[in-house]
Amino acid sequence: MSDVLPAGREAPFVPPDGRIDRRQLGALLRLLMAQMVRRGTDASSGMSGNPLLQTLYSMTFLGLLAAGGAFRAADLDSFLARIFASALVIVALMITAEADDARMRRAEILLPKPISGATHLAAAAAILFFTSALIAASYALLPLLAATWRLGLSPLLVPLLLVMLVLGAFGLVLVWVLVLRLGVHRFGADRIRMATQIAIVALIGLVTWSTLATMTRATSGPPALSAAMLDLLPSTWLARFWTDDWGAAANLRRAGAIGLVATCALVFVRYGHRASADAIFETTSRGRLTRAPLLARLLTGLGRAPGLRILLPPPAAALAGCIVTLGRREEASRMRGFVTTLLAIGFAAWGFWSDGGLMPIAILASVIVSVTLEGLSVARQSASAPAAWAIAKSPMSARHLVRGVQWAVMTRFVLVPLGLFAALAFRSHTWGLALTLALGGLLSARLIVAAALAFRPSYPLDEPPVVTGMLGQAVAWAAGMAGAVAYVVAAMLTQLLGTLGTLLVGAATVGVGVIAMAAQMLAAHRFSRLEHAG
Amino acid sequence: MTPAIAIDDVRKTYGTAEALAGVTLQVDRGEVFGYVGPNGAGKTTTLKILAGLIRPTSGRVSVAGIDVLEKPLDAKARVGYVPESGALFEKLSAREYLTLTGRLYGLDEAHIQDRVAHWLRFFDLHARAGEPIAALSKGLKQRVCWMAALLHDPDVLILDEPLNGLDVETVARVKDLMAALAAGGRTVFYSSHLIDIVELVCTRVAVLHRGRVLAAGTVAEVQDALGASSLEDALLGLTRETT
Repeated sequence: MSDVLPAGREAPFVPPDGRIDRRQLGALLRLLMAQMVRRGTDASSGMSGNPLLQTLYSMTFLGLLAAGGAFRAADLDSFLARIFASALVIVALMITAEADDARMRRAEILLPKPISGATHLAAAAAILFFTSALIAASYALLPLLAATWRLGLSPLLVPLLLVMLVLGAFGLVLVWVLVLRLGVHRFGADRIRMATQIAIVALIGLVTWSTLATMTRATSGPPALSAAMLDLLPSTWLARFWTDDWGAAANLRRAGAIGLVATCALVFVRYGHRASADAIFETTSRGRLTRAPLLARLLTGLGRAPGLRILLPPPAAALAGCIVTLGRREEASRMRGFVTTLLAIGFAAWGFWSDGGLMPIAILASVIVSVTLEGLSVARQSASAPAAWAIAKSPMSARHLVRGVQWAVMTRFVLVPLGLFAALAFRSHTWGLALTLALGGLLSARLIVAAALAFRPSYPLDEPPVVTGMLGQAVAWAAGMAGAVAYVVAAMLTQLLGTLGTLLVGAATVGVGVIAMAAQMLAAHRFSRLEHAG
Repeated sequence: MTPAIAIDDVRKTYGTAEALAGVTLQVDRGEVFGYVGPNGAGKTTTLKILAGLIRPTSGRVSVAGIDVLEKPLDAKARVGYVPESGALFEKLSAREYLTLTGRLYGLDEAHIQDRVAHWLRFFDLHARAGEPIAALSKGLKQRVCWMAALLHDPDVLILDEPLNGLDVETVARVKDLMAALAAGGRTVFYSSHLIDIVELVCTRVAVLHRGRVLAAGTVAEVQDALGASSLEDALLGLTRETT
């Protein structure tokens, strides 16, 4: 037995209660940071990739959009106030509650170890500081640089402003995580995560709207806070910390800013340690009955309807229902396509209520193409990808597999933009052309799914979720542009050639339909030779 | 002699659900104690309380003679825990994870390196110790869980389904290990559904059902108490009753 157990025993190490053990803190930080920043699968969302780079890219891109505001801002002060306010909102929304499963696993690793509450708290604060600083600085850097160019901000002030922003962001998240904890306890982590995701999408929409308004020199942008309201925000006190005068009122604001950050830190220290592990396990112990989404139930029902079986065979309906259900439930998928659909609704509203000419319909045509590609990638991916063996080993024909994916993508992603496109087309064109265009949109979407599956066949839900890379986004954008151009050419042909033009567009639509059928058969053929590694 | 584990009338409720309804048990030093019962009986809840993950709603718990509720850090320093979920920080390599775990238990660097090398050898994971844990198979991940629980040489080892995914050879080694730990004066509290192994390695067992201990003692005593010809028959009866 002597070779089984290691030689020599040490007295157990017990850290001082209520104090920070620096060696434990270092080890804890290394564990948590490595888990947070290294490439791999995120325990909460199921997305794979490098979270650090993803945050940097997305925040810098958002910052680039926000930098456009420097071109329409009345003055430096109001621009800085808006950038600081939006940065703090973004930081708060980006730091959301962990998923139940991720929290439970972390608790199972760390809570049985003899780590004092003070050390846990210090590690949490350090992680929050790093995260909030990364988000705030990568978002605000480009707008601040734009302000040096357009609004006369001294370049020397940029790092000082970033320091104030990071300080404010840190103070905010210290309190924000306590609010999130209360929210999780009351509503559950899943609802809180979903709410913050929707808020992020809405915020991105606002920033994009503001940028578009700047680029098109439109008279109206998104609703904005008045100067008087902005002055009342603590973020404004931070924003003007270095640029304000040195009068009594300005100094009071400076003191207020520092006092607020200090208060946030005190509140965190006072209440942060009440991280009850019981609450974690209690939350996850609550079972809930679930029901398939309406769309999935509708698809299954359609598959059973006698007259519709040719269009939607029951196995394809079942697969489409499965893809739709998982897509709605899995965090990595449920918000995909949401921004694009919101954009489609926005452009449709533009088309209905203003005389935008061909532009709104062309953009909707582009949206149909790009949302189809996005929907296809969602149909291919799942956070529980290893479970796709169940689809691969099911006695489902390759033809039904392809059709199942097509139906899932068409109903969940394409239906709304296509419906809006058709409505606008009927409003702007003759009945015959509008019908042809709507049919063309539908067949094009089917062609895209079939062609993509023929080009790279993969079982549905068989790939881990990943953020679409730059190349993928460029391809989606180019394909979307091609869709828009196709619509404009069709409309112009009809304008120039009348009935003959409509006939030509009809012939092209039939051509798309035939190619879609051929692509569907090719995809089915390639699927029939596909092997599953699982 | 102070028992290694003392559980005194422990109750635990989650909302309105009662997971433990007054569990009382004592486990002596040097014992391998089996804790069995059907799904949902409350085994994992008991183990989480012993490991200091959750607090009981009422009752007292002590490990290695230390009250878990009054001196949680002292108790945790003497306990090793293998969770059922096999939770690990999977972006780290096994060697990184074990080294950092050693620091969390306050071991000095030389000891950490010795112990990590020892357990990597014992669990035959040397060759893959530098790979991210995420790249390891389920069985290899389970070995890392074992190593992390053993690294600080705990007085009490709490095991929740610890043989999940392990191959035959490793299971055999683990059985030897449990015997060696008990012979060396450590205590093993072992929860599992693998009744044959429980019967083989445990000196005593307790059968839990709906949050209550139905019987505790040697395997023969428990069979007598439950009127069954074997431990497996006793559990089958309880499982059928539950379903």
